[in-house]
Amino acid sequence: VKRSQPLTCAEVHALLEPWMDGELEAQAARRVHLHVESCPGCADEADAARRVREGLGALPLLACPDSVVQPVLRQARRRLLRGLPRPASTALLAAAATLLLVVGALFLMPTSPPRPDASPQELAQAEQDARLAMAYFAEISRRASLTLRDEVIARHVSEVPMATLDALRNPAEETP
Amino acid sequence: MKRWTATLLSLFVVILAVPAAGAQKAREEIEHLPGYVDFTGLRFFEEEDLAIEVNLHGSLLGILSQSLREEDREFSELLAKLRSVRVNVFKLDADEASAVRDETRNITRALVKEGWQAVVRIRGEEESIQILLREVEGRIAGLVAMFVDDAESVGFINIVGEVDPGQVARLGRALDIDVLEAMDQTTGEEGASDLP
Repeated sequence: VKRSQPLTCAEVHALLEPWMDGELEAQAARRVHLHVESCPGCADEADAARRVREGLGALPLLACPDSVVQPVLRQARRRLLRGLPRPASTALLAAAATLLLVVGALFLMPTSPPRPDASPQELAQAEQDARLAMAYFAEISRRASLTLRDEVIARHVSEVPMATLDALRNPAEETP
Repeated sequence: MKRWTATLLSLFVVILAVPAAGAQKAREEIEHLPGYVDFTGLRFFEEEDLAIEVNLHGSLLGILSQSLREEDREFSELLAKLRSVRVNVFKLDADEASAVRDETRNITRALVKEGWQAVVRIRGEEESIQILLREVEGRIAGLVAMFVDDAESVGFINIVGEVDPGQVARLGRALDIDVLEAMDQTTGEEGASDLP
């Protein structure tokens, strides 16, 4: 519709529904309104359309029976599914399955089995390290035993002579 | 054709990435074991004070155990049950000794809270020793030993796996390695991994 020229009746008839639904831009709506006000034929057309709308709006809402709704929904679902991307081809599925198997097997492999690539030097160094670790722990436990023994001896062996000496020094304390 | 190319490329990338991911996974697995203790937080030691460092983990311990099966059966069987053996020994100045002793006691307290059992706690005049065990379902899952010699060194041991402390000590004694001598040798040289 050219904005500069007045609307023709045919143009107004085409715009009546959107005009009544409030879907037109402000300027277009104003031009339809002006035409309807000045054109008795289009005014009648607009009144008729308004009456139909009001009549339809006054009708009660009816529930559609399941026997109608379910076949329609099934049909709609089928159409939707037809619109989705097609499943991958068998070859692609096989490739994906192989990939999953390889990755799964690699990740599920135990991580502690012997490495085939440990060099003799690496092994010799590892053996030396392991033996040193054990020797260090042995040294710690030896020192712990020595310290414990010294403490026990000091506590239990020296307590007797010290008590005897104390008793000799203070005989009064012995008598009840 | 494009799909096949993409699939093959993905497969190639995954195959390249898996060994690295496997090694990382192995490390992470060990770090999550109940017998593992993270000593990396020992912030009061400098790298240059490291006198002995041992770091042995799963796969290498496994192959070492296999290689020693004929030569030293008992040692081989001991190693077969272990997942990780770590030792860190640092040189210690006498003026640091008190703080280090406190820190080892803090570590012990924290470990006990986590479920470790302190089987040895000795505070001698010039040294302190703490030995802890972690038991899971009736089996020992790890061992920690901390040793502070005020005048000389502080050492941390963490053995992860089904370890028998008595067997470790007995085998260690039988080796007749002078650890202090080993320390002297390593601290006199560059790096800490050149062990005797």
